[in-house]
Amino acid sequence: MEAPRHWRLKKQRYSLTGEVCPHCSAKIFPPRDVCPECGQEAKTAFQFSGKGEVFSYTAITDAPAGYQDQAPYAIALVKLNEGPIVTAQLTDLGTEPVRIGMPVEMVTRRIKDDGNERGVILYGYKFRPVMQG
Amino acid sequence: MLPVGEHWDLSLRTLGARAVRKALADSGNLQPDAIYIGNGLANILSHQANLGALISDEAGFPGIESCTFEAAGASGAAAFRAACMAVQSGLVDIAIALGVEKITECDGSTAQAAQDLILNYEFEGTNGLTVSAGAAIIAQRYLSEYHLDRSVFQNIALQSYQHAQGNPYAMYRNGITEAIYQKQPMKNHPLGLFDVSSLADGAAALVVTREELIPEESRDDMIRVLGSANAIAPLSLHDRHQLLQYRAASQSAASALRKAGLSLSNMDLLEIWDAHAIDVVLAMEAIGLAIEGEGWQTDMTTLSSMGGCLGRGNPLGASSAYQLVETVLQMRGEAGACQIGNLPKTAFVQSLGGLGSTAITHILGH
Repeated sequence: MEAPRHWRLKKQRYSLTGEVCPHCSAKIFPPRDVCPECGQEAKTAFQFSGKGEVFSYTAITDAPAGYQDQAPYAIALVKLNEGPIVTAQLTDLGTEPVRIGMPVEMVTRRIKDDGNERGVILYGYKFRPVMQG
Repeated sequence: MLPVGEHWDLSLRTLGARAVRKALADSGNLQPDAIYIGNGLANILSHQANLGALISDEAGFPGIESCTFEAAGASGAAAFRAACMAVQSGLVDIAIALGVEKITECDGSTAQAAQDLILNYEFEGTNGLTVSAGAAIIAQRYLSEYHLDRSVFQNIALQSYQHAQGNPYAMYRNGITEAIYQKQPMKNHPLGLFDVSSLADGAAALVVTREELIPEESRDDMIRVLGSANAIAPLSLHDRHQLLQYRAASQSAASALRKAGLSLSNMDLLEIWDAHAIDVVLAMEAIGLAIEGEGWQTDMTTLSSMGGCLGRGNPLGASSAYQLVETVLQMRGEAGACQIGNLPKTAFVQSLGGLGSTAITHILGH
C-alpha cells in the first residue's frame, strides 16, 4: 500500500473533485496541470455532481489480485453529466441488466483489499443505478 | 526468433541472448556496436531491471552499448526504431533490436496483474479494470454505435489462428473452426476467449545496419527500412475524446508512410496488431484501410500472415519484434507454409502498446 499516493488522491476518490479550466471552462477529471481542451494551465478545483450515464461496460469474472472477492463485477466508462468520462465499477445492480445510457450515480465503496499484513483497505467511487421514485 | 510458448527451461537472459545470436548468424556474423532491448514486464515478473547489461553480456558482447526500451506491446518496435535512428544518425554502425519477454515464471493471475500495469494505475487499474476488460469496453461501444453483434470478430480471430497453423514458431498451431469459435467461453463480454491473445514467453531480434557494411553474400537477403514513426494517444480510455478512434495508430501510420514517400495502396503486405480482435477493427479504420464502422470486414485482406498475437501467442514486449521478423521472412520468401502468394516488395508493420495508446509503424521494402 503506497500511503502517500492514496492520500494524495483522496479528494478525487472520495468526492469526485476535478477541475474547471479558468481559460476555456472545460470540466476536467481526473485533475491535471494542463487543460486537455485548450492546453493552458488548469488549477481551479471543481466538484462533480456524481451523476452520469453508462457510456460502455463489460463484466470481469477473472479479477486481478485484490479484487477477487468482488468478482464477478461490472466495470464501465461513466459519462458524467458535466462532460468528462470516468472508469469505475458498477455496484448495487441487483437483477437489472447493465445497458449503455443507463443513468448512474456515484457512491463511496470499498475498492480493494490490501492482501498484505497491514490490512489497509482502499475506498473510492463506484457507480450505482439511479434510485427510482 | 525463438518459438513463442512456455519456455520453463529457459531464463529471460537465455531467451534474449539466443535470439540475438540467431539474428547475428542470419546477418553473416556481423559484430554489433549496440543492442537495444524491447521489454515490457521483466521488472515485475522476473524481478530484473538493467536488461542491457544482463542480456548483451550473456550474448557474448560485454563492452558494447545497450539499454532497454519500454512501450508495452510496442516495446520491440520501439527498440527497432531506436536501432534505425542510431544507424541512420551515423553514431552506430551495427545495431541489434531485440524484443524479449519472460511471462511464464509465475501463475496466470500474476502475469495478468503485471500486464494490467500498462493501463493508468491510479484511475483505471485501481478501479479494477484489466487490459482485456478495457478492450471489451471499447468493443461493446463499437457494437452499440454501429448496431452490430459480436459475430463481427469471428473472421479476424479465425484468420489469425488459421495463419498460425503454418508457423513453426507459433503457440497455437491446431487452428479453430467456426463451430469451436462460436462455442467459446466469454472472456469479457463481448470479447471471447479467442478474441483475446494469450501471454507467453518469446524473443526475436533483428540486425540493423547500412548496406555497405553487409557482407556481399548476404546482401540479397537485405530488407530496407523505408519509414518509421511512433505516436501516442491518451493512456486512459476515459481521457480519449473519441473512444472508437485509435488516433495514435492513425498518426503513426500516416507519418511512416509520408517518410517512406509511399501510400497504403503501394503496400503488398499488412501486419496489423491483433492483441484483441477489436484492435484490428479500430486499427483498420485508423490506418485508412476501412471506413468507420467497417473495420471488421477483413475477409479480402491478409493480416497477421503468420498468426499475429492471437495465433502466434503474445509475448508482450517481444510481439512487435516478431511482427518485424515475420515480415522480413515474408519479403525474403522464407515464410514456409505461411508464405503469401506474390513475394511482397513493400510491407506495412504496425504495433500497438496498451489499448492503442502507443503506435509504432514501420514501412519495409526491398
